[in-house]
Amino acid sequence: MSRLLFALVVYLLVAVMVVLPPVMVFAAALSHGLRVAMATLAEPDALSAIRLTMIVTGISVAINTVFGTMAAWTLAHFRFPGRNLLVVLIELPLSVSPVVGGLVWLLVFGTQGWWGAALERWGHPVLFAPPGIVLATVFVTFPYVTRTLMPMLAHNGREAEEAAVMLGANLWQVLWHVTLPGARLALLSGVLLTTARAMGEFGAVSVVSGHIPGLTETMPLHIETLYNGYQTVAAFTMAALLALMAMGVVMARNLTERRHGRTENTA
Amino acid sequence: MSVQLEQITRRNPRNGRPIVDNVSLAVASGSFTALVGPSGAGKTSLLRIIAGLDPHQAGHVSIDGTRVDTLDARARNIGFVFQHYALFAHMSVAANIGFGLSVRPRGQRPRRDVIARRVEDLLDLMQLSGLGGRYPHELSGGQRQRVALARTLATGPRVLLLDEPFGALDPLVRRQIRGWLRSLHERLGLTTILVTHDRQEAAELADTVVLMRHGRIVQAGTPQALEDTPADPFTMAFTGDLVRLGGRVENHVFTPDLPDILPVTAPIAAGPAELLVRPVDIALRPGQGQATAVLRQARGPLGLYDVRLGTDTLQVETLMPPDRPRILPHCALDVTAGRLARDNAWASVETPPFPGPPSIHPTGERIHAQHS
Ligand SMILES: Nc1ncnc2c1ncn2[C@@H]1O[C@H](COP(=O)(O)OP(=O)(O)OP(=O)(O)O)[C@@H](O)[C@H]1O
Ligand SMILES: [Mg+2]
Repeated sequence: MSRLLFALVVYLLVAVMVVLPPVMVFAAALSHGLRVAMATLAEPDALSAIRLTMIVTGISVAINTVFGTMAAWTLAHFRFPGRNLLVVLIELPLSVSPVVGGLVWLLVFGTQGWWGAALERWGHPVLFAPPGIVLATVFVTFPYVTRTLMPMLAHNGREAEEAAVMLGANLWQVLWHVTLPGARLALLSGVLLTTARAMGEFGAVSVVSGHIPGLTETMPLHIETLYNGYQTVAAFTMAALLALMAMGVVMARNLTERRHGRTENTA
Repeated sequence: MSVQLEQITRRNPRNGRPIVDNVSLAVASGSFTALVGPSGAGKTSLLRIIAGLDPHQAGHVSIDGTRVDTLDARARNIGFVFQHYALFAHMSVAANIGFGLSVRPRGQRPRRDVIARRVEDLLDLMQLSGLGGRYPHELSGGQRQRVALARTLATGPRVLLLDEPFGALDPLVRRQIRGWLRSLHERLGLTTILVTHDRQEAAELADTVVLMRHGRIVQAGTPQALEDTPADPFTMAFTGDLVRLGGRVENHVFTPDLPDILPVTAPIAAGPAELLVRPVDIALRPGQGQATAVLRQARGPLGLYDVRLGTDTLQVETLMPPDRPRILPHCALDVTAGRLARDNAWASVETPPFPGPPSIHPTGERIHAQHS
């Protein structure tokens, strides 16, 4: 009996805290009908925000996949002085407020910062431009690939890698033919997590973007602008779209996790 | 190919304590060596040093007389079979086996069809025909083990190192693969070093058994030599079943604590000591004591007797007298074949001080005894 009661409480909590908000968002978006909602997405600024979000997400995910894989591999394979510190540093973005992450870039690239003025004169500003948004997003999403990959590389893959070495494979052959394929599901899971997180990033991006509609506004920033301008339907429609995209990514990740769990302990 | 180890030492990188401690060993070309010892003895560590997977801080590894200390693991042409197979889970069985050939530098890499043929040959050799397209998780433990072996043999190593390769297999499969590994070793002219926990496996397979403890070699020799002249009590305990009998030495005579075990002469100083004897070496002497041996079960010519000694009962399996008595009264146990141990000191015991009548089985004596 008590088991049922607990289950009921959990169901209620999930319903109120997790299911209700997106349902409300969808309801608000469709309050004037589907056609009105779709029309708001066709606005030039809305299209630009969607495009920018996709571009920034794509670039950030690519960068973090490459560097995150390298970091995970290095940390899993080598013992060197300062290694533990490095592990802590990599996790820093998880605990530090994204706004702080944004402010750091402001310091480095702002006109009062170290290189900001020089870059401006050269004609390639970083702040209040897409490169700054990418940097901020990379900072915030840096830990995810490393964190999902590192335990996998440290525990599951060592013997297989050593077997490959004993069979005559060199470092690159081991990495390319054994390590990465062996960890591909963990890698995919990390990449999808990074993607979901990158699409939705608000705080860090907000600091460095400058909120220029049609130019430097990503979807989350544009939602805020719309909402502040009392364009409720447009704001909620874009929010619904963002939520849908995130849900798709999370669902894909769950699928890979399930497969991952099934094939993990096979060889 | 021969393998020589000269005073190899490897230290724990964390605390500097030796994991492998001044180990010297000569492994003759074409020989089969078994590395045995308790958990943590350093067997795996020694194997990994030979392979080049772990560094050593002192000493030299030579292969065919050439020092390979600075040679990369991948350049040593040594085959290594890992305890948990370490198959590539994302590759088919055929791709696993062909891996070593397909990663060779371009000039030495065989053509695709040549590799495929070699893989087929190995699958046949390993009795795995038709399984090339499967993935490792679709195989049984014994099949995975053979794939791991095939993968290792594909590149034609002359030295084969195996780290407890049969540990995860059931006893029946284990026995099969064991015999088959030995014949493979001979057919391919390999030099094989095998780590095992199973002393019977070591005795059956190996020409030389190397017993390790605390990173050191305690004793190395033929299985027979280890059985006949164990270097210390530890070796004797490790190489076979053992009955330990506590007792005291006075005036060079060892008297066991249990009653009805005949005293033996002991060439050591007075004090407590322990007698170690193989159960098969204990003889029953009717008419010399007060113990009663009760037949529990007859198996052909052998009888399994319960012998009650004070509060202890020993089970003794021995050739029965022709009349197959159910009860042998007034018995004593003769443990002359045992060895006396005090700490790590060691002494053979000698002929019993009181010559008695012959045992109940004058020839072909086979007795098996154990505490129960
Ligand atoms: N990389 C390492 N770092 C620190 N200590 C190690 C390392 N490798 C092994 N050791 C230690 O060295 C000792 C020998 O280990 P090893 O694995 O060689 O034993 P083993 O004889 O193979 O034991 P088992 O029969 O359990 O496999 C152990 O005490 C182990 O804890
Ligand atoms: Mg081991």
